[in-house]
Amino acid sequence: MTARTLIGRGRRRSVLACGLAGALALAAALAGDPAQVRRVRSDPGAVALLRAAAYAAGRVPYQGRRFLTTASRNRSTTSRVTVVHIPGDGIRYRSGTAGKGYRPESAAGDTTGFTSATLSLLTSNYSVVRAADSSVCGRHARVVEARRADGSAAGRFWIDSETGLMLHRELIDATGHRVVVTGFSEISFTAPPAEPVTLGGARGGLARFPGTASGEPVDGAGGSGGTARWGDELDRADLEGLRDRGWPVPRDLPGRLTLHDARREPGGGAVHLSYSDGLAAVSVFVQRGTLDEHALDGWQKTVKHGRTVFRRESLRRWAVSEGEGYVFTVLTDAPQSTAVSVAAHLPRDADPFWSRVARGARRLASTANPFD
Amino acid sequence: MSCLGERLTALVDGELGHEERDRALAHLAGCAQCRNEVASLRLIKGRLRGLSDTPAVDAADDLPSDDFLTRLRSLPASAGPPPGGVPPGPPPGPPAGTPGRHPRRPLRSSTRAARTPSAVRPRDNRPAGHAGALQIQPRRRYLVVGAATLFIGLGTASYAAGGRQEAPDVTPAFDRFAVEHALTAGDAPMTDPLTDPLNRVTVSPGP
Repeated sequence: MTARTLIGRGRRRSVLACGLAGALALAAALAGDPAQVRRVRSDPGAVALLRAAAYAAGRVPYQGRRFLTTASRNRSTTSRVTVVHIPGDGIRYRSGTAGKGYRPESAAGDTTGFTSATLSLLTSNYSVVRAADSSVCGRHARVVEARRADGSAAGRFWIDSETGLMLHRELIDATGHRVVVTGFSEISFTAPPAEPVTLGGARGGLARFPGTASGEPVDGAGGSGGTARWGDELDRADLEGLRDRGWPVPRDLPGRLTLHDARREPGGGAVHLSYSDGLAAVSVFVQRGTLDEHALDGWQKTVKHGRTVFRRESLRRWAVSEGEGYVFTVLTDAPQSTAVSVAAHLPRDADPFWSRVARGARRLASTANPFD
Repeated sequence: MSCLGERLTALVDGELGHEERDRALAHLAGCAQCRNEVASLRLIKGRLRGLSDTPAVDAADDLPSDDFLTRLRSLPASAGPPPGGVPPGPPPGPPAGTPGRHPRRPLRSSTRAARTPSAVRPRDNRPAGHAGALQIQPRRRYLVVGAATLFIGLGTASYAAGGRQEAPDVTPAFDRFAVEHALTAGDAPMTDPLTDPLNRVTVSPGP
C-alpha cells in the first residue's frame, strides 16, 4: 500500500515536471521573437473590421463622391464619380460625361474589394493588424494595415468608426510609394431620395459601345435592370472542363496571385479570371482567336521573356498578349510591371512542333469522340 | 562390360589407329562377348544414321548436332511435321553391320546418347512452353512493328490535323472588360478612360 502510494506520487511528480518544462519552452518560444509571431499571425480584431466593412457597405445609406487614383513613378491618374447608395436599391454612380453606372444591391458589399475568398488570401499572404486611429473626410476612422513579411505596409484601410463603412484604402509598393488610392472624398450618411427612373438618357458611357447591352451594370435605367457581374460563374468542374478543352486557366500567377473567381461572358465569349494576392486585383480575360493588332494602335509594343506584349497605361494598367490560339487581356490597378509580367507568363506557343501535334491530337480525339 | 572398354566404341567409330585396330580385331576374333557388343553398337549407330539421312541430303554440314536434331524431330505435331516425315516405327536405315562405310561425319555423340533411353524421345514429352516460346518471337515482332506504325501514323495525322486553322481575329472588348474588372475590384463600374476618351480624367505628374 505504501509502496503503491509512493509510485503514484513519483508519476505525478514526473508529469508535473514535464508539463512545467513544456510550458517554459512555450513561453521561451513566444518571448524569443515576437516579431516573427506577428508576421505569421493576423489580428482577429483587424480582420473582423474588414469583414464588417463589407457587411456595412450593403447596409449603410450614403451619398458622396468617390475617387480612384493610380500612380506610377512619373504620373498619376484620377477618376472621380458621384455615388449614391440606397439600401435595397443598389449603388448608382454618375460621372461627368461618362454617364452612369450601377451596382446592384447584391454586390454592394464588394465595394470594399473584399470577398471571403480574397480576405483569406489577404490573411495568408499578409499580416493584418490594427494601426493608430486617424481621420478621413472629417470622420474618425479605425485604421487596418496589411503588412509584408519584412514588416512594411502593403495596404492600409480606413474604416469609419461609427458606421463601419470603409472610407479609404490604399496599396503601397515595396519602395513605400502609394500606387492605388481609392475611397470617398466627400460623404454624408443622409438617405437620398430615390432617383426617378429615366430611360436612355446618358450620352457617352457604355451605351455607345455595341454589344454591351447584355447584363450591363452601367447605364442601368431602373434598379432592377442591371445585373452585377457576368452571371455565368464557373465552378471547379467548369474550369476543369475548360482546361480539358485546351483553355489556359492557370491556378497561380507570378507575385503570389491566386485564382479566386472565374466567370464567362454571357453567350460563351470571353472568360474572366480574377486573381488576387489579397490586396491587388488582377483580371485576365481569355478569348479564343488571334490578336488583331490593328486594334492596338497607340499601344506600346514590348518584348518580355522573348514574347510580344502590348501595354498601355491609363487609369488602369493593361497588357495584351496571345498564345496557343488564345488572346489574353490583363487588367489591373497594380503597377504596370505586374500587368506585363502576368501577360508574359501566360501560356504561349513554346514548341511549334509539339503544340501543333498536341492540337492535332485534340482535334482528332474530339472528332472520334461520339460524346463530344 | 566389354574387355576393350572405351576402345570398343572407338573401333566402331573408326577412330583407332592401324595397330590398335588390328589388336582390337584380333581380340574380337576370340571374344564372343565383345563381338556381340560391337554388333549391337553398330546396329544402334546404323539406326541413328538412318534417322539423320533425310535432312542430311541437302544440308548435312549445316546441322548443328545430331542431338539437337533428334530433339527437333521429336517436336509435337502442332509445331508442324518434320520436313522428312519420319514415321514413328523403327527407322529405315542400313542394316546392322554396315555402319561406317559411308561415314559422312562421326556419330560418336549419338552413341553416347544411346546410353540414355531418352535419346529418341517420344513426340509429346516436350513441354508445350517451348513451342510457345518459339512462336512468341514473330508475334512480338508483329506487335512492335504494328505499334510503331500506329504511333507514327497517329503522330503524322495529328501533325497534319494540327495545322493552325484560320482562328478568328479578336479585338478585346476593353470597355466591357474595364467594367467587369471594376466590379471585381470594388471600384465604380465605369469605363476606363482608355476606352472612353470623353471621361474626364485628370492626369498629373506623380509624386
